[in-house]
Amino acid sequence: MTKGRIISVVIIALVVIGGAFGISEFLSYRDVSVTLKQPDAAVDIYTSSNQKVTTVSADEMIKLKVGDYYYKPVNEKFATENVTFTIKDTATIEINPSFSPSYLANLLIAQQNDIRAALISNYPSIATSYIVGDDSLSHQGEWYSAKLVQRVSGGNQPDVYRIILKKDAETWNVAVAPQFVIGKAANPIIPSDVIRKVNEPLSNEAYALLYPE
Amino acid sequence: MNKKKTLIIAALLVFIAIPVIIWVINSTLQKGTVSVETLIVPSNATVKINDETYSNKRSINLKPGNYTVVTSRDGFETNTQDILVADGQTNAIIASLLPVSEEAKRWQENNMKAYLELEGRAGSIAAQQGQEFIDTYPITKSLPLQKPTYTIGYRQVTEEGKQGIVITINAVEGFRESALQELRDRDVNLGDYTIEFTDYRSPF
Repeated sequence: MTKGRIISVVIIALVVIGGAFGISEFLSYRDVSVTLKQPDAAVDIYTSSNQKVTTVSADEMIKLKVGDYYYKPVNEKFATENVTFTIKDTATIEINPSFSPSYLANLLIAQQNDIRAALISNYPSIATSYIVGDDSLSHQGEWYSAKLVQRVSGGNQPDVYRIILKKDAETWNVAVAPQFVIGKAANPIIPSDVIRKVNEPLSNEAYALLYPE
Repeated sequence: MNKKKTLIIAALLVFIAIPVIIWVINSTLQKGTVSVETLIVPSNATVKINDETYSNKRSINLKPGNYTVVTSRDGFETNTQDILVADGQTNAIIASLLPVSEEAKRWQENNMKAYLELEGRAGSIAAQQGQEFIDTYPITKSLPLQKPTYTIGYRQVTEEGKQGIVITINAVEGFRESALQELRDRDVNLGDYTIEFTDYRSPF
């Protein structure tokens, strides 16, 4: 084989390998439709190795390589937790971050009267026999969870019930009736973080409500 | 020469392709099934599972779920048992048929070793299943738990072909939260379990 032929073969091989690599790179990108479920929920998108890819602040189409990513809200109204997603075959992402704890706390203050009215209309004994403690809103403020602490006297131990409400069309409805502990299997529609939170032990603040000094 | 070469390559390809095709067909047919070991003495007994009959099978592939298994052979007592086949656990059909006819009794006398081996294997499978159960539900290792104001136990349940447990708590009024705290202290994520309180009526 002549020197010229060897060079030709090497060049052809390099072109083929380069072409294959280029095609594979091209094919690994997807046109991804990003939808912001809340208009002010701008997010930064990062690869799983923490490389920032882009910022999305409105519904748009972006190009992302097949792989794992996460997004993080940039607006402090939203929780700064990372939400992971994978680009594989589906190329649609809905960005719907939870509100930040401080935003949810303010929202709870504004909703408190409606929630209390919903609690008492469903369970009138709450007004007289229970203290509502450790109450909080979750996600976009549509989930409310609380502990109902039995009013007891003489240093007796109280029973603690857990309840979850959901806001639908501006109305608070009972999602899980009061019970000592809330299980995921019996309540598949309740987000697991809401269940985990409500099942936590009674806080010292809630105990303080029961035994005021 | 070229023709010979082509023939050799074609033969090699066929040699490789046939097992691959068989493997693909087999994998497709068995997709979603679980291998169930059969430990039966006499080993040539007939195994009937939901109207499907098998014989001389060391293992049977079944979809996860509940089955009634009938094992029989002429001259021996018929064995009927309900089994749960579940993914991620050791599944086995164990049947030791007792002889009824004189001929079967003679067969047993001559094959006592097979009965003893089955007993040993059944014991190790039971131990393996017990360990798998504890690995899946570590809290069961600590239960039942008895305290002056509450007791915590559990019972096994089968739902939609899956084995699970229900934790049961019997507590004096005012100490139910203490019982739950006992579970939390033992790294139980309460939401992952179904927890029932006995001797209790909701005031709501």
